[in-house]
Amino acid sequence: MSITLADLAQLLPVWILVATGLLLLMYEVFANQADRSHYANISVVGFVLALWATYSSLGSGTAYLFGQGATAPLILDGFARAGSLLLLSGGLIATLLSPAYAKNAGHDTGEYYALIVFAVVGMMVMVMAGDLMTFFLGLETMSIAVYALTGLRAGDARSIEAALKYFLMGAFATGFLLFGIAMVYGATGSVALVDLARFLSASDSALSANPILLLGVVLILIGFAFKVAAVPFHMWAPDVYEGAPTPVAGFMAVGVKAAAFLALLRLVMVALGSVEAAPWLPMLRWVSILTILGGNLMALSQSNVKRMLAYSSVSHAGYAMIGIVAAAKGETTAGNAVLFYLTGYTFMTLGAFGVLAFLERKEGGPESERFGAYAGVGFKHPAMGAAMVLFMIALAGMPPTGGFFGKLYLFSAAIRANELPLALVGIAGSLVSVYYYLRVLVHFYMREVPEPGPTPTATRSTQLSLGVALSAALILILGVFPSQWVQVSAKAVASIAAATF
Amino acid sequence: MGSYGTLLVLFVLAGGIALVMFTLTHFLGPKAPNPTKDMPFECGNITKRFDQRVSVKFYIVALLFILFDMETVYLYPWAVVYRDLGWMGFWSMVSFVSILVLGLVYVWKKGALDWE
Repeated sequence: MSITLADLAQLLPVWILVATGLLLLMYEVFANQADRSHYANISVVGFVLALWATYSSLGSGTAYLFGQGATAPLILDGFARAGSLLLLSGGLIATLLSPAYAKNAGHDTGEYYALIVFAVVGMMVMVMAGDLMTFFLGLETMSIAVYALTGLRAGDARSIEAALKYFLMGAFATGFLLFGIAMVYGATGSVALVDLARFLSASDSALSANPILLLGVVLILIGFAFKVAAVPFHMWAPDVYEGAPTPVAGFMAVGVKAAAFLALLRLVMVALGSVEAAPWLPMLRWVSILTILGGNLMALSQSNVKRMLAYSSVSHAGYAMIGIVAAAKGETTAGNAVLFYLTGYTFMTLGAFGVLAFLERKEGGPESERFGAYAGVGFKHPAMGAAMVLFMIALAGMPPTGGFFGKLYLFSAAIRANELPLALVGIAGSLVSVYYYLRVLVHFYMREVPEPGPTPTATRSTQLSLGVALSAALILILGVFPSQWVQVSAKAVASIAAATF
Repeated sequence: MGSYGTLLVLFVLAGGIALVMFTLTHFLGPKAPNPTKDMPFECGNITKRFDQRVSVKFYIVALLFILFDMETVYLYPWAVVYRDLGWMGFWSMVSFVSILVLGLVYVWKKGALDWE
């Protein structure tokens, strides 16, 4: 292994984020405690610089960092760059949503913003990882930061419960994943994705003669399923999203999920897709079906809006899994569909959690998160209400939003890959979801404001409004002019395929 | 018998001598126990009952210890191959240690190192 300055310069966005995180920690201990308002601004500047650095390198070719060729631990290709753009935007919007909420909840500290920044660093490493150990390193960097973020409302028992639950479940999932990596290494003698691909495509009997490899791959996939909260590994999601600070719940729903799905997409496209009729295909297919049905049916019966959004994020993991199945069958448009879908999902979910953060009261508790507590708020806060309408119809997959095109691309990729049943389950799930997404809007606009009303008093903040407006604008742009991002993501996904051999 | 066999002989001999000495003193030696004599001698802390409370401060210290212990874990192998790594190895370690120093500054200023 050799490290050159040219390699290091390629990682500029990562260095910017690391420096921002360290700066935030130093600012926290050295700055005057009265200027707490600067944390979010420092963090936003860091994210914008990193976005700019990533964006300006979007057109450059594939760089293999710290190693030879495709076995390098970090592969900075078009896919890693496009994925980083998505994850950085997620981090940026989550940061914008935070200051007002954090001030109310009493965790308006430098550590909060630094942890978000460090989590995004881990996510970027996950999408760049060319071998399983580097991926694992990124995953842990992300996870440890998010465990801490979950428990930041230390005075609230729900937050502590959420953090403990998420930590224990996450540690368990990490165990599965690491054990799987160890087995894959034992079977193939390498952790590089490309070596796994070579091993798998060397002979068709490689798998049947090699139960250790099969077990390893299945354990890795289970680890992924835990991280994206796919049924039957989703139990932790609702409690954790309910207990975590609202902007953090949004950040977890999009960032953690998107990073895990992008890494899974790379694993599937580089290595697992090279096996015809692979034994893990039925497993992925069933996880996808169960996740869509389970997520949607459980979301129907929720009375708490945050829990409803948690189950909704479970069901969206199921839709994205359809694309993974199609990609595993070698369908070339599936990767593009997954990336596009995750982009739309990121903005609509963050936006929805942003509106909730806006409406949440300091002494709220679970009562203030029930559907009934939002009666009439659409008229009281017209702009936020309109944004919520947009996010809800986007989540339900209706035009003119990015949510519609995301589902369209996913389902058509599934049909092209001969997975018609999956597409049908996806469509059925989307139909069911219309009910509970519109239920939010029914409460927003069609219920009387109770007198004297526990109507949520809003937390006004320029940053929060900016974050919600940014999400709304991006979800509309994705819906009205999807072709630009489709082209970027198609090129990005093609760069994985080109680099494999 | 390779070189591991020699090692095995060493273990058997050392264990056997210890066993013989303990057995002989147990049967032959005079015994006049008292509470002070029964206390562990140079064998670490006296074990406590597990339902006793331990100050929560120990948890911070233990956490920080593991953190900075990791630094040592990296430093030892680095020091062994220092010459082969060249300047790149040097600067890698400088950046690693500087980030860690920032961490030390952070915990210091946060008051995590104050016992009271």
